[in-house]
Amino acid sequence: MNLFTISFRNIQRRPLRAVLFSVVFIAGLAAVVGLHYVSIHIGQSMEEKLSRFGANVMILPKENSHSVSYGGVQLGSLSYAVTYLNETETVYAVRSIEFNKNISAVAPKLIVTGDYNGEPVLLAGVDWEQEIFLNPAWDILEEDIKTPVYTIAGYSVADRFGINIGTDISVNETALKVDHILAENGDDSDNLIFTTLSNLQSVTGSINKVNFIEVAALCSACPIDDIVSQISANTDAQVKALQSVVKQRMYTIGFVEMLVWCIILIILTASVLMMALFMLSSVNERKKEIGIMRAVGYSKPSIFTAICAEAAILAILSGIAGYIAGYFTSVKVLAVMDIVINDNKIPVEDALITIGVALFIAVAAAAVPALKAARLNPAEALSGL
Amino acid sequence: MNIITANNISKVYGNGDSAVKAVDDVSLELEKGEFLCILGRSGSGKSTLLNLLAALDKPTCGKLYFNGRDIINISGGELNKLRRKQIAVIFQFHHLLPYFTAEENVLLPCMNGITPVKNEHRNTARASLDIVGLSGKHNRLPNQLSGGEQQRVAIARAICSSPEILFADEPTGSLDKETGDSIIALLSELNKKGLTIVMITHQQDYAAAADRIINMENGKIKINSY
Ligand SMILES: Nc1ncnc2c1ncn2[C@@H]1O[C@H](COP(=O)(O)OP(=O)(O)O)[C@@H](O)[C@H]1O
Ligand SMILES: [Mg+2]
Repeated sequence: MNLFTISFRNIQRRPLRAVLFSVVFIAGLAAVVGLHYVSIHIGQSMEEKLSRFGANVMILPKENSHSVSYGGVQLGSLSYAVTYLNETETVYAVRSIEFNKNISAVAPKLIVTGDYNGEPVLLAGVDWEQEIFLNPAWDILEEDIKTPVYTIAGYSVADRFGINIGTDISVNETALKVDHILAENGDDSDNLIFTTLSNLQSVTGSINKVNFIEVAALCSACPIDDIVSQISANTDAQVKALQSVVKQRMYTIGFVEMLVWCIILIILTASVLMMALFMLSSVNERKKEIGIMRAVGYSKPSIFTAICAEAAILAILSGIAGYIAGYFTSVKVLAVMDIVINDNKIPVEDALITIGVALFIAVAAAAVPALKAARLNPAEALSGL
Repeated sequence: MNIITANNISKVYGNGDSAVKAVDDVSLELEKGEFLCILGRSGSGKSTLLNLLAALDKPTCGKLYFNGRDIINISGGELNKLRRKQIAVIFQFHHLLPYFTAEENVLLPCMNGITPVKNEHRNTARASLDIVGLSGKHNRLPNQLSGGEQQRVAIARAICSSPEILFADEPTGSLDKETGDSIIALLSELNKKGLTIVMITHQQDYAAAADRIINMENGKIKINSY
């Protein structure tokens, strides 16, 4: 038996109250842990989904034109010669960066002018798998592309020139049969004709050449600037982050995370207040006992320690239970939301952090009542009333 | 030598118009081994004086010595040591911890730290319980003991550290006559073994056990008789 025996027995003395208190504290901690995990995974999964709505990094050949303006009026670019990127080298440069797990799509493009009934049309040679990943709004799936050469026409260009499924577009005297017409998307894809990249490269004699590459990178785990600089280190091409796209995405994810942190903060504040009230009532009801302890020579630090230890014991138990409850709740919630968790080992560090936070809350909340107890004047505490 | 010397001590509660002079310029000398009884009407300042003498509270002014040592200007650590080893108190209400057995309650002063209670402490606690006549009841919880037995546990707790002086504030106040008598008899016995005792009581006949009686009125000592 020692000082902590007093703390333990005090908890046992009012078991129902201790249990009720712990249940509320555990629920609070479980909510915090659960919300945190859910928000992390939602953030990741949200970004994965968002990243499909367009690229956020653009890779272009080294600047070979300079834009001309006069009196603030853009007069356009002066191009000297069209230059190309080496497709395999550049794609490899992107795929081999340190953060390559964050690269969700690499879509190379070759832009060529074709001819339909004597009218010029713009063709884009694309890697179908990557292109369809980046354009989930298209009314076409990867499985629909069955032939080795596949060509689809954008809504506006088809409408304007009367292009139908089965009509031929000619490029360098080679005919490409249109297999599909896209529904209206309201973006650049409406004005283009998309076709299999490798075929377009061979009919135009530009083997392994592309004009630019669009990259979709996930940046919740690392900043986009790091990805850009890692790609730049691997290639001579210019690498540009489409900052507005990145910012918009991170803002959406950041907003969700901020919301979760607000809720967490509210729960933790409520826990501190509840703990403080719990300890305060515990101290008030034991004034005489504390008076006796002072009268038999307990020091102020001893009294303070005994009261704080009581809160700490409850906090450690609640912390363990709260973490476990929160973890499994988050797993269940994520399963219901159909979000896949990549690593499912129980993180011991997180559990320790949770217990640490619970301890901190408890001791911070118990400090004021404990100080009050330690400062009790024994004569007053023990006086008649 | 005096165990306690009080020179012109006063205790004022509150301030301004609502100030109450509970102890008013009291001087008192107490010899080792004495049994002093304090009588007086309710509100006359008995408890306040006892708390001052027992170093549970500090006087507003005056000087106070324990074994010749100033106990007003004393460090908190020294004061705690004094309360732990030399000065013991019991009250009208026993103030036992309800969830500790009789023996554990007697051991309360020894639980003041991280180091666990030693076996020798347990032996002393048993011996104290024997002295107050509670042999064989050391494992009972307070609610399994009668009022008189509970007060005996409080006495055992007080004498466990072999203090030099015991202060008792109406120790029989909530007991029936017979039980009260037995408590007074126990205190007399302890006094005969050399323990200095200062006791407050309402009952004139209990004062017969004392060597000296002081009578308080309005915070002052009116009669000081041997
Ligand atoms: N903590 C306190 N605060 C204010 N007044 C007090 C306090 N304790 C005692 N008093 C007052 O001091 C006077 C003496 O009280 P007390 O010493 O308890 O008397 P007794 O023990 O003789 O009945 C009373 O008038 C009482 O109201
Ligand atoms: Mg009194």
